[in-house]
Formats: sequence, structure tokens, C-alpha cells
Amino acid sequence: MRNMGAHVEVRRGIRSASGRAELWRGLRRRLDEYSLTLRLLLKRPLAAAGLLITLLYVGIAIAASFLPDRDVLQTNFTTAYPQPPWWWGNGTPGSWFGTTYPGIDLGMAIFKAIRIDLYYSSIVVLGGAIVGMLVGLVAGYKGGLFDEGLMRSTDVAYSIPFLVFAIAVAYVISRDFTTLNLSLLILWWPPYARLVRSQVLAVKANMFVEAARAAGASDLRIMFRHILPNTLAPVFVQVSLDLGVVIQIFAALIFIGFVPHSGYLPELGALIFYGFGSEPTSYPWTILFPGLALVIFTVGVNLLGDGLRDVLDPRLRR
Amino acid sequence: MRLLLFIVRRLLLLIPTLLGVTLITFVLSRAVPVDQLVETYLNLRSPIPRDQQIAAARALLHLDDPIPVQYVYYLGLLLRGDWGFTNTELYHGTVTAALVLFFPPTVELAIAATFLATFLGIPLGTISAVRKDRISDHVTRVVALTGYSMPLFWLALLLQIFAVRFVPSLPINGQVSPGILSGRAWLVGTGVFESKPTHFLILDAALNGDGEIFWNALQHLILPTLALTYGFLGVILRMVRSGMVDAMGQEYVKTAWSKGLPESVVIRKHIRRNALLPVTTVVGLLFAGLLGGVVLVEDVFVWNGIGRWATVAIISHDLAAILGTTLIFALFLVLANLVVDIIYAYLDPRITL
Repeated sequence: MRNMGAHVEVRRGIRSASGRAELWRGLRRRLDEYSLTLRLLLKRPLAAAGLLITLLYVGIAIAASFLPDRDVLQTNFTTAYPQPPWWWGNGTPGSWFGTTYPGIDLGMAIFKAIRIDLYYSSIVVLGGAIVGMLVGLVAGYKGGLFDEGLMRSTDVAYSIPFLVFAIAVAYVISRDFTTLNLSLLILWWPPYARLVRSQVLAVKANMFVEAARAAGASDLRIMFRHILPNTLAPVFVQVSLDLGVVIQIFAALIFIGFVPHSGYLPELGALIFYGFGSEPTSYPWTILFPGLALVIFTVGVNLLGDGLRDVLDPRLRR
Repeated sequence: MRLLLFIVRRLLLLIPTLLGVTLITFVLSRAVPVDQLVETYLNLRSPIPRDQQIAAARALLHLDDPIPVQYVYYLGLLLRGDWGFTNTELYHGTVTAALVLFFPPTVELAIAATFLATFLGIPLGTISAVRKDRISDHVTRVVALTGYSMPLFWLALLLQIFAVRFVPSLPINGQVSPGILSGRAWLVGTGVFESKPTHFLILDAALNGDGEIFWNALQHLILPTLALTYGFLGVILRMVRSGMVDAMGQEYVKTAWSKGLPESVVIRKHIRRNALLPVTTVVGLLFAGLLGGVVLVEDVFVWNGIGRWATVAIISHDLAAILGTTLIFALFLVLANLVVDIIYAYLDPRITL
């Protein structure tokens, strides 16, 4: 009895002392990995451009949250009709992107709109990725009935057209931003669950998982410390590609008037809608610039995602 | 025989999917307050008093029964085509009649865009893969990238602006000029019209030998098709290119080259055939997805299809139309999945279920 107690005592001691060192080593290794990824990414001009665009948008979103709403909402009814930017030929001096109805400065509005779009689309994508990752991890690791149920429910989720379903769910509950996000989230996790599950199945067969189990690691520890980190690369790629998709769906839903709002909403889809409402054929810039803001962002995250896919691929890495 | 077995198994797998899809629309329909649900079965233009209609609708939906029993009756209603009444500025009547009316224009658009995108996408993707990292490859990749990075409704608006500026004779919205519609036996109505016998306007015009409407409708089809095609082309180009680049590295391709086969044979018979397999899937699924994507394009081009009907329904709070659209899109996607799987099994003998 006494011996066994001593044994446990010793083991705990080893664990706590070497545990910290191990954590440090692990952290260092991971940081090295990340900086290698970054270096490889920056070597590719297109991927570097994608990273730059994405960072620029994130910067704008952060900067715009310090901008008070009233600066954007400054309407000017004396020149309510859209005014062209200064370089458009007989444009307004000093205005870079022109104005949109009613006399709102378009550049400022886009600046603010990027924040809203980025905020909501990253909530949907990151939320979907986290939920999907957890479900896929458990399903792949445990297998059995849970796994079967998951695969069948993702089958169903795949056979529901995304846009229409989001409309229906949010319509039935309530037509506001939060519900819209929730309904997008409901449909956004299954692809991640499948992705992570397939990765888990591959990683699970590795020797180091067996070794961890032999060393007495718990299921939770194996799942989160040993398997999950090895499944993350394709998730990163998917997240960056999805950001571009969701931001467009989001803008589209606002464009067709899905979230009713009175007055003026600084959101890219809504901005395009205002331009659409005020005869875009006479004032093309009112729809041109908000749309370009969307296109540039989507191109950016797509380039980044493609670059990440190449860089994170272990076969091409070293 | 192998294919037949595959189809039978695949059809059996359809049952749980269909149950799941209908279960979701059922839950959606029961998530709203009961009054709103009952309202989807009221015919506002019928002379029958409202109270009687409400009682009849409650009985029809079996609202007093337990929820699982209601689901069974719901399935029955769906099978009988009793999907409720829609009442929007576009259409008053049963949802199924509205679907019959609005589905053909949408399909017309989707078919036109799918064909154009596939016929442009496969050769362009081939060129891009064969001349990898040369100038034509870069151009094609930029086209593809901007194609799927562009919001379709925005592209549609840009095309309209462009057409107004530079090609003023091109119609920018509607399916056909309203002025020339009257006085034709096979066309009923003006705003939302019904053409006989197939409801496909262009096909019907051809069948009835009506050249004027045929040309007019074709001209109206140009801009929406271009908008959809551009978005669609990106995905196909990308698939063809990556599939072919993958195939080029394979051993059997090296063998084909070293046998001294001519370039065109290697590219067409050895590389492209294999790269086209996944493209089949994508084309099938995109065709279904396109039906969803047209929602926005139809709205911009005032194209009276399912998408525009759904948009109008959202704005005018028409629950019956929204539930109907969700269900019909879901069923269509399930069907497209089925067809794609069967074609895939036919094309690739390695596939088993």
C-alpha cells in the first residue's frame, strides 16, 4: 500500500515539473511552425497580397469601431442627390468616393460598413468552425451511433439550399441580425464537422495516438492535445475561403430587404441597395464602390485561403 | 446490372433524406404562432366567411392532434399538393399553382447559364491547365477568381448600367416587352403571364411559331444569363484546371507521352476525361445551387421566377410562399444530388455504394 502511494506521489511530481517544460517546448515548437507558415506564405506574391488585403480589412474594421455613428450618419439634404467623386468629371471637390442618397459620404459609409459585415460574417464562420470541429472530433474519435447520426444529419443539411433555408428560419423566428446569424450558423457547421471527422479518422490511426493511450492519457487529452492540433490545417483554409462566401450571403440578404430597417444602415449590401433605389444608371458610383469593397475582400480571403492550402500541405512544406 | 443495383440503393437512401428535409420544413412551419400558420391556408379572395375558413384550415392541419401525428398529416398534405395559399402582389392563389407558374422561368434562366458556363468553362479550363503559369493561364485564373468573388446581384446591376450606356437597344429587365404581349391566344395575363402549353416562354413561342416574341424573349434572356454565367464560370474553370493539373502528374499520362501519342490525344483522352468527372458533380450541384442564386439576379432583372416571388414574399410577409420555396428548393437539390450520383456511377465504374 505504502509503496503504491509513493509511486503516485513520484509520478505527480514528475508531471508537474516536466509538465511546465513540456508546455514551453510545445509552445515554442508551435510558434516556430507558425512563423515558418508565415515565411512560406510571404514568399508567394498572390498569397501575400491576400494576407495584406485581409489584414487591411481587419484594420479598417477595428478603426471603424472607434468612429462614432453620427460621423457616418451626417446627411445633407441640400445636396441629397448622389454627388460624384472629384475625379469623376464635374465631381465634388474633396470627396474621394462621392456621396449616396441622402447626401451621405460614401467613403465614410463604406468604412463603417466593412466593420458590420466583417463582424457578422466572422461570427458565423468562426462559430460554425468551432461547433463543427467539436462535433467532428467527437464523432470521428468515438465513432458508433453518434457518428452515424451525425453523418445522416449532415446529409440532410447538405440537401437544403443555404440561402432559402436561412431566409425561412430567420423569417419564422424574427427578422433581425442575431437570428439571421443563428440561422446561418445552423447550416454552417456540417461541412466543418465532416472535414474534421475525416481528418480525425486519418490521424487516429497514427502510432503516437496509440502511444499516448498506452501512457495513460485520458480520452479528452488525446482528443484535444494529440488529435485536434493535427486536424487544424484544412480548417484554417476553409475558414478563410468561407469568410468571403458568408460576407456575400450576408450582403445579399440585406440587399433584398431581408432585415427591415428604418432610415439608413451602414452595411455594404444596404449601400448597394440605396444606390439601386436612386437610379444606378445615372449614379453608377453609388453601387460601384460598395460592391468593389465586397469583391476586394472576397478576392483577398480567397488568395489567402489558396496560399494557405499550398503552404500548409505537408507534402509541399519542406 | 451493377448500375441498376446502385440506383435502387441510392433511391432507398433518399427516404431518410426526404424525411429529414420535410421534418425541417415541418418544424419551421410549427415554429410560428398558430394564427400565422392557419393564415397560410386561408384564401383571402374566396367568398366563404373567414371564420369558416379558419375552422376548415385547423381541421385540415389537425392542429388539435399531438405534434408527431400532425407531421404525418403534414406529409399527406404535401403529397396531395395542398401547400396553402399565397397572397402577394405577384400572385394570388394556391402555392402549388404559383410554383407551376414561377418555376419554368427560373429553370429557363438556369439552363441557359449552365450551358453557356459549361461550354465556355471546359475549353478555357483546358487551355489554362495546358499553358500553366503562362499569360493565358493568368487571365483565365483572374476571370475565375473575380467570377466567384463577385456578388451576383452587383454584377447584374453593373451589366444593366453598362447596357444602358453602351447598348441602349438591349432590354435590361423583364422577360419580354409588355407591349407586344396582347392578342395572343397562347399567352394569358400581362405582368405575370402564363404561356401555353409548357410555361417556358421561349419554348412556347417556338412551338406556337411566334417569331416576334421568340426574338424578344431571347434578347431579354441575354443580360441575366451573362450575370449568372460569369459567377458560375469561375467554379467550373477552377475545377477543370485543378483536375487537369492533378491528372498531368499521373504515371499513366507520362506513359501516354512516352508512347509518343500526339498532344491532342493525350490532353483530350487521357487528361481531360479524368478531370471531367468531378466537373459533372459540380455542374449538377451548381445547377441546383444556381436556382438558389438566381433569387438575387431575378430580383434585379425583374424576372418573374421563383426567386423574385420569394423576394416579394419576404417583403410582404407571405409565410406560405416562403415555406413553399424552401421545400421546392430542397426537393430540387435532393433530386439533383440523386441524378449527379447516378451519372457519376455510370461514368466511373469504381464507384460503389
